[in-house]
Amino acid sequence: MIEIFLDSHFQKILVAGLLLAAIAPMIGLYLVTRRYSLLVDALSHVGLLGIALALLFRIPMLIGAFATTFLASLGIERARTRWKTSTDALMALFLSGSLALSIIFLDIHEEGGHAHDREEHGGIESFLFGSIAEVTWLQIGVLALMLVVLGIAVYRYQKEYFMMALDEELAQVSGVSKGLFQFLFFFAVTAFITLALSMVGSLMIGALLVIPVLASMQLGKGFWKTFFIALLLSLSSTVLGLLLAQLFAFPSGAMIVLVTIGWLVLLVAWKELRRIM
Amino acid sequence: MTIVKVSHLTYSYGQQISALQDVSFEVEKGDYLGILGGNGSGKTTLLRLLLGLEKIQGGEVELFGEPLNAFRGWQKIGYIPQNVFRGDLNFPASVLEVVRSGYADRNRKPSKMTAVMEALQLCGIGHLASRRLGELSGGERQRVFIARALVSEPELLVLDEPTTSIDTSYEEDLYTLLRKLHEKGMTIILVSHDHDVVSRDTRHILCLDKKVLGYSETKKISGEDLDRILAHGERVIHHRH
Repeated sequence: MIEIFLDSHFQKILVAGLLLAAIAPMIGLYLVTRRYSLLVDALSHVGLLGIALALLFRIPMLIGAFATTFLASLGIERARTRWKTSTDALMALFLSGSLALSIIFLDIHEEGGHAHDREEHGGIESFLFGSIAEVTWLQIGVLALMLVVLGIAVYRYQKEYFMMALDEELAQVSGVSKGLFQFLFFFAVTAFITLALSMVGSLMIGALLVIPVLASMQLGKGFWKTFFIALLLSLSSTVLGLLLAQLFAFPSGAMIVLVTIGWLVLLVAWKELRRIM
Repeated sequence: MTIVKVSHLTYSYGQQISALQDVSFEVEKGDYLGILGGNGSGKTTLLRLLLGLEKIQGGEVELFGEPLNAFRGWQKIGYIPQNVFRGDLNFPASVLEVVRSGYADRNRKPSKMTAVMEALQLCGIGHLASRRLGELSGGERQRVFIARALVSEPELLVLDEPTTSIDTSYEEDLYTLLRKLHEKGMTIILVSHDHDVVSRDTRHILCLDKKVLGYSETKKISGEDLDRILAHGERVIHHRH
């Protein structure tokens, strides 16, 4: 097993996975406590639409994914607050709508004589399920930069982060700019989705962000303790998931998510056991 | 000094439903204003507008002498909404964390922890400090948010129906606490449906039914007058002297 860790390709995958895992709870804690968990699923599928549009109009895929996801996140938030539209209905609309549009646009693209792109980019499946094995050093560099910037921001504005998670209106009356906070938060969510899309796939991104926090919340600790436990669970799930994926030749994104779910099941069982005894 | 100045405030939900019509009043430093009105009279909308939680459509609001959109001294204001904490009961936060989040360093307290413990004791929930927010009853949670609003000794305390979810045994304790804070110089705006409490404790009364039905010094208005104004929409304005 030690040999796996000595393999330079696995080391690269591990670094990318650990960076994703370290960023995830910083975003996930706010998503779960504000009940935005499904938002990421909807936005990751909007990211797919961005990729389809990018292929169609021959612009870089990451730019297409980032632009559409960011616009959609602002649109969803505006519809939620301004027109009081229910969040779950919006999620359903964006999730299925963007998936449907992606399929149509990719179909148009292939029929337009660009079928060779399917071989080059692996078709829609490669973005649904992702492949961390194909991660580039550039992606790793951007992830590392994101970790540093987001880490500093969360540490510096931990009080504002906590207040916004607890109650948006009380945060506003305490002087927090709700608009600016949400703009920056959705920017971070979009950047994470864009970077993670090709690595773990749109179907798994939400699970990476949400499940470690959910599992950590079972322990009934305070806000920042919950964050650090989620961080530990996220990092350990990534190492174990990637190792199992490598050993048994399973898709890595799915393995990481399954290990995270394993943590959740264990902690729920432990919580129930403690309640009974 | 004028702490709150509301001039000709008008607000409507959508095109049709008018919530406030030409509402004007002032709150001086050290005042204790009670705002009375029935359901749908615009009390909560008025508070939300003067705290910047709704966008002003017509009229003006000034806080501490500054126009609302330029006001930055939010640490001077403590706010207790009608329904505190509508979030998930599994929200991972202790009482201590919630109260601490209201603390703003204004060089008044020896330390943050002392201020937090004092606020908890003041609200009779010192024993709940390490408990999780979701484990508490609705009334206990309300007291946590009252402690949060008080932790920085705000100059202006704004309360929207603060006794909605608290047990009756604590109601009187809360009003006693508000009287003490007022005696120490805190400016208070209390929205309530309880005529007796407002008549007994406040210095000024504002009766609201979308527009200002009455504004008076509390001692100049009888309980019968209040009932008449609120029931029949009769307008009575006793100006400041």
